[in-house]
Amino acid sequence: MRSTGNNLITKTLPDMVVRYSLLTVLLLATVGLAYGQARQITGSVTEESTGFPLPGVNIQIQGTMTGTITGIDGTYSLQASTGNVLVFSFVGYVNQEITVAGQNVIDVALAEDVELLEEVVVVGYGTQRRANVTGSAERVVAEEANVGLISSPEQLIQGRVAGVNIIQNGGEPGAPVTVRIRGGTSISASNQPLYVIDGVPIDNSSSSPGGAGDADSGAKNPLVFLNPNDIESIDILKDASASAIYGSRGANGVILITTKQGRAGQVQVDYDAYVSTSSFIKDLPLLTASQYRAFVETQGLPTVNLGNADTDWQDVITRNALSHQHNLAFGGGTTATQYRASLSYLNQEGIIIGSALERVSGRINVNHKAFNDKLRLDTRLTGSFFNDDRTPNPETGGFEGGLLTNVMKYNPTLPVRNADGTFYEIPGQTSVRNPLALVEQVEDFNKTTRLLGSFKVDYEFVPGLIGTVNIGMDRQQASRRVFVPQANPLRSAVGGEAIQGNNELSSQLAEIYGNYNRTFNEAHNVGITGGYSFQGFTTEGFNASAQGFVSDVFSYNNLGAGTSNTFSLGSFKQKSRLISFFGRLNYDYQGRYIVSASLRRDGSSRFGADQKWGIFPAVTLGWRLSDEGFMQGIETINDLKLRVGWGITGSQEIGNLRSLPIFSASGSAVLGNAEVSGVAPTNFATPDLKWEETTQVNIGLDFGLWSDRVYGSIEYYIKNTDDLLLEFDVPQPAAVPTRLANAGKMENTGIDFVLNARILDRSDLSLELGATFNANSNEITDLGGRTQIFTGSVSGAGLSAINAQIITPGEPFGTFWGPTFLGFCGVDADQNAAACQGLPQGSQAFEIDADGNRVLGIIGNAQPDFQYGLTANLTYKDFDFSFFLRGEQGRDLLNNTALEYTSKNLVNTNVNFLEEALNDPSPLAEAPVYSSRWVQDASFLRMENVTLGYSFSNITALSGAVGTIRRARIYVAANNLFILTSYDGFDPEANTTASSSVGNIPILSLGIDYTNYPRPRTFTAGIQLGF
Amino acid sequence: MNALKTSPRTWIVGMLALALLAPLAVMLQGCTNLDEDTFGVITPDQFFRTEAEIIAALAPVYAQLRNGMWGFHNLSEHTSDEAMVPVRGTDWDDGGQWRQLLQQTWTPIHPDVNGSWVDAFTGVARANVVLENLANADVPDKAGIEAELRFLRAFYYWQLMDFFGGVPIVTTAATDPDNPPAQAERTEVFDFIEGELVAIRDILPVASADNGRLAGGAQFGRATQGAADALLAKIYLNAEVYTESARWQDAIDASDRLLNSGVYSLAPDYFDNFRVSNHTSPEIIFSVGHLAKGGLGLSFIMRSLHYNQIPQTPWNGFMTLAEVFNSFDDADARKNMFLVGQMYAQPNQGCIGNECFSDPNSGALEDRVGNPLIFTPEVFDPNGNPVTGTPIGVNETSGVRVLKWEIDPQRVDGDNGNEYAFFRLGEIYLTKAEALNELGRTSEAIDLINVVRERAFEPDQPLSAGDYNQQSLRERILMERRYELIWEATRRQDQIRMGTFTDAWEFKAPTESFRNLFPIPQTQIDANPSLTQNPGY
Repeated sequence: MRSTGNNLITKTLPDMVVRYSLLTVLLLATVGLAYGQARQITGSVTEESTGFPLPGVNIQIQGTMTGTITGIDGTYSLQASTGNVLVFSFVGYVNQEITVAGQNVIDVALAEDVELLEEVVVVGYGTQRRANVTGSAERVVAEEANVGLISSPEQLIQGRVAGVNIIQNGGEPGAPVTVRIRGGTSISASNQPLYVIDGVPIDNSSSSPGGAGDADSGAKNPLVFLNPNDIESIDILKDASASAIYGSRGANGVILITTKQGRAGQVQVDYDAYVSTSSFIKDLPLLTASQYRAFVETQGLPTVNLGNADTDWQDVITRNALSHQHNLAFGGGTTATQYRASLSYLNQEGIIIGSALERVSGRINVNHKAFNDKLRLDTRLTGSFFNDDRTPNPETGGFEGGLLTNVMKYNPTLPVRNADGTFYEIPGQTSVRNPLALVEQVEDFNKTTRLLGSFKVDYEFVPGLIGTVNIGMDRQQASRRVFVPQANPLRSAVGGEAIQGNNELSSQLAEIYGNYNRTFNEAHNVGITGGYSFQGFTTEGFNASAQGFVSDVFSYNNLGAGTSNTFSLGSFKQKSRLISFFGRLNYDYQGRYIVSASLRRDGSSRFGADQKWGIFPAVTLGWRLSDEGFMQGIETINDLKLRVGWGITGSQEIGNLRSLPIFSASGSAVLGNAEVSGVAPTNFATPDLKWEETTQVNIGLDFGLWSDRVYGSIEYYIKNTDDLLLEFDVPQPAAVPTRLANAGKMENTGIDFVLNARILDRSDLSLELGATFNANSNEITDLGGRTQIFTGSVSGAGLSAINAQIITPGEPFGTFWGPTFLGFCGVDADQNAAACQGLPQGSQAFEIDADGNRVLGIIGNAQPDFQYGLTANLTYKDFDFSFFLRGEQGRDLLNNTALEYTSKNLVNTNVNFLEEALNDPSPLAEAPVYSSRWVQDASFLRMENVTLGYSFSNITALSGAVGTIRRARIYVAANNLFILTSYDGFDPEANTTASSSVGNIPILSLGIDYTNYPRPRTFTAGIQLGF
Repeated sequence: MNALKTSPRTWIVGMLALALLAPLAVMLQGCTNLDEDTFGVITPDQFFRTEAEIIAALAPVYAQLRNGMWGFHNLSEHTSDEAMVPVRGTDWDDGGQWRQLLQQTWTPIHPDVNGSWVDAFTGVARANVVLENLANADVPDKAGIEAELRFLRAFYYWQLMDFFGGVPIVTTAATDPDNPPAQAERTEVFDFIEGELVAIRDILPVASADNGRLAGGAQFGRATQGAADALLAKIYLNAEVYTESARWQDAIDASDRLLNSGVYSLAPDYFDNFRVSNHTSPEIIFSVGHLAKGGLGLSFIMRSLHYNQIPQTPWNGFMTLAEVFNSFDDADARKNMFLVGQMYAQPNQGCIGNECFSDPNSGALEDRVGNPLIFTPEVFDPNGNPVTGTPIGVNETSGVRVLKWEIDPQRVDGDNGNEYAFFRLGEIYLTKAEALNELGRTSEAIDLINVVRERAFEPDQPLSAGDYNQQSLRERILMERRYELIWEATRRQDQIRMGTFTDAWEFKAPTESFRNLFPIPQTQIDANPSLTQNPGY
């Protein structure tokens, strides 16, 4: 037996041989000395679900110090007497006790402790039994998360958690994701939650240096660095009572990500891979070449610009994109040391030519216990390298616009290429650009390296008292390379443009905290947490650009070859610090009455001199009604818990250096016919500047019915945000025209509802259904004396200086504001009505006042009345089938694309337009007008995912062929399979950045769709293998 | 209690662990400071020490002049009868902001109204900051710099007084949002400007004809005695509008100081004042400098030219009205600034007006739809029908374009290196002429007008004294100012002074006289509730 084991091990892990052999010999010797009179018991311990041998299982004779552990092959032997009770224990498995009778061989199969895994949720600076959680916290474990072509962690939980609204801003690989937990709390600072990865709060700002202005693409998602396959679980702290332990960063909720750890036992190797194909889900109905030609001819317009080609520009720039991902992970260990290492490779093509994301990510997690398990070391390190290949598709477009704008515009009768193979461009014009030439000729790459590591030491001083030191570091380095050749009309006038930029974002974390958990009199459970945290952030960067290259060959590799008066240089550095003291007290009486209170005192370098420190308290109460005597008779209800929470959180995302009087290099003048660099005041001193503060009340009821066949929760919350940061105009004269101040107020109220049901629960057939529902109502209650702030800049030619949204007290954020469209004069509006007076027949009619001016008013809202998700998981024998539907109801979207391109007038500028305009009675010369006509209902129901999988149950048969296989599953999945909506644009969930700005900060907008990179439909086939 | 039972070893290990934490604690102790680090920016205590630093702080005061090339210029021109931006196809509707300027229906939220207020007041505030810090600085010519700053502050106050009437007069740097400054009467602002200019005039340097401004030396673009006199001439010329009390003789005296200075003279060629090399023009008294460099250039050519005329894709917006174009005498050399008729391709070289785009051998340009690019004085829709009433639905070739400032062959994108003259001697002749005429010295006035006309006509076409009385010469002066100063941001003022600003003209109905002042921007009233909105708004 011993030799067999040795042979096996020698082949795989030679170092472990020594360890196990020595350990076993030592233990056996000890046992042999002490209990010479007892007899030898042998046996093996296996995992119940797989039958695999479990090494490192602790076997102890109850009430003694005598015991042993299993070897690498899961076998053991020890001396025991009849009547002894052997306790088999192993982390992550249910303990088993077996009384020694007459037998000499005792084989045991340990069951995985599923409940244990589920029951603990991660809260800040510790864990808590799920049953005792009284704040609003939800957990999504890897098995329940979304599947398919997923490149970033937020996509795992999209639609899975009530009250967490996640929008993918576009379909470009690595596109940013808008996450709103229970509505937004800010109109000018961040609304994104705090992300904490394995205890390290991360800086989630984008590291990408800037690109080439009108040839730039939209922002990118910084979380792409984290391989979703490394994630064990995601905990979402929704309300203030849960997130107040994160103080000045908790106002928008906290997302705690825990990565997978190794488990004691035999080495497990997992290989997961998939291949996906993505395609354009919908074409916008632009005129075809023949329609365009016919229109020009019937209107009697000049035909010189008509070509002979028939080009579908949407088709030309899109493709069926192929993506694939491979994950290889191995893990294992002993009871003392566990490790897991993974390597993943993702290659994601975008459905628009020239856009792609490539990522190589590796992770090592190791933990070790020593000194009778009193000392626990835990280190985690991830390194991620990703490259973005970007398309010249800026989010907002003015006159010329980017790729998709030109796709809309480009005359369909014109060819893609000339006879000689070069790109066709309209002679003498630079304002309209051949879309394919744009994607092929403009080079734009961003390379990012990110390292995130943490090292944690726990030491249990006395039972229940654990002291922890947690050190974390995060560093991302990004370098951007852009080249727009002079061959392309975009920069032909300036002789090409090349850009290089490098940014580095880093943070360091040091925390010391203690947790003390004790039960008194078997009824009073007390938990105390207290600690100190320091985190520092540094951002620095360098960028340079040049124009005027003699040759395109120089590209971005020799900026000095450009013309010197076009050189542009920049560099910057910023630092910020957070110092915090925090504490939490948990108490419960038999799990029936639960009290939790937390307090954090945060100091931030960003706050003004008079407001450096803030205090963020929270209190929750829980009452497990189902444990009360009066509930005992009710068989149906097995669990019922009422909880009430209150807390204050903050948002410190006000940017650096906003409270100090600052002079910057600004305001250069030309004096004596030469440039004189200027230094001017650029920030108004506001020593009382502080965080935005959100007070939240949460009332929840958790329930389990029919032995948890049906379970869920319902919650009601009120979130009041005070001290909203707003930029105010300073009374003039003022060297800095605006200042940041804490003024406005906003309120969110809503209901979260979660319901899960195990409809069928048989061994060969099971069906689980789940539903989430959130209705949130948002209202701006105060703007610090201002009556209105406009945002939502409308894009498009002739649409400058128009804002589509108003922020005003009494109305929600995302309120659309503009003229009301009445119909077409002489068609659905009376030609003799005042609104049509003096207008040609067919003109758009708008509501007007007595003076003939268009009446501006509220014409929609971008926030949904409610949102919901439905999941179903069905297993039948070896097959599993699941789908996930997600919808939002009662939301509006400004179809800015249709606003600009539903105009026949465009033909007068040699520009294509949407087919709808042909049916529209408006006269040829009419210019587009922003109105309620383009604020469209964008309610939708999306089939987010459908998956069909097959797991090979007859593993042993397979094992013979390819070694030892632990698990094998193949699956096919479809993402974004269909979407039911009346919305006309590419996608009802578009969210183009259309901020307006007052002074230095943007005023956010919501619900504007302008030539957004569309979300694709994706089919995935994958395999999951475990060895 | 449990603690007592714990083995000594546990405590030893625990203590060891704590000992290991000690260095960490020391490291963290250095990090309890929450003062913000400033990198790459300056705090006030680190600045205003050397002359170079003072000059660097002076530059942003001047930089606001460049900002005025948008808001100040738009409000001065597009509200008058000599410029407009029609809605061309789908372009330039922009929420009606251009129409509001043309038809004088602007509101207190018009972007250029607020922009002009902020641009000018930022200049005032920046000047105040430097003035206050100048005392402790180590600067040789402190008095000169102080005079320069006070001139600039007066210049910005003149723009504010001209546009908005009464505004707060502030000469200190501190700004307290809770105690906003009170609004002064328009006459008080006038007195303040006049007092400042008189006080500093003699301290300012005299522009020298050799190594000063003419050679493009260090003074060019900076305040001089000439600039102070020109601004004085300007406020005296309009004194009746500003204060209801005319100051014609003062206008004459200020003009004379310039005309007799020996520093300034009319440039031989009118267009020398607008070429890229215009910093060598002996005529320019005060200008804002530009360079062919990103953010430092003049973008006038972009505003007017058609998309297809130069590779930088101009904006095809600004034009002058048919009536203005037609009012120019064909023999007037200044008429060459207009682009009209068929446009031809233009090699990338410096040129002004119809010197450009005029060589038939270079190939006819087309508009975007393929029509010949023919600029027409009248305004048409895409089907060729005249547009009347409100200029919307206009085709892209309508309108005479103004190419008064030379296309800079070295331009970077839309940034051209031409200076923009706020004051030049040509205007001073007409200013003095107008003041003389108002004082009944009509024939002296005509002589001065003829000096300016002489340069524009070959052969000379002088006005004859016998043809004009005081009133008819007044009207003539308004025309002569158009010919000489079109698109130089004097038209609104001239029309207000002559009483024609609220009259009707093509595409514009008569408006009420309160339009002679712009409204106080709504955002500024919100910021400073002590401001009183101008009547009528």
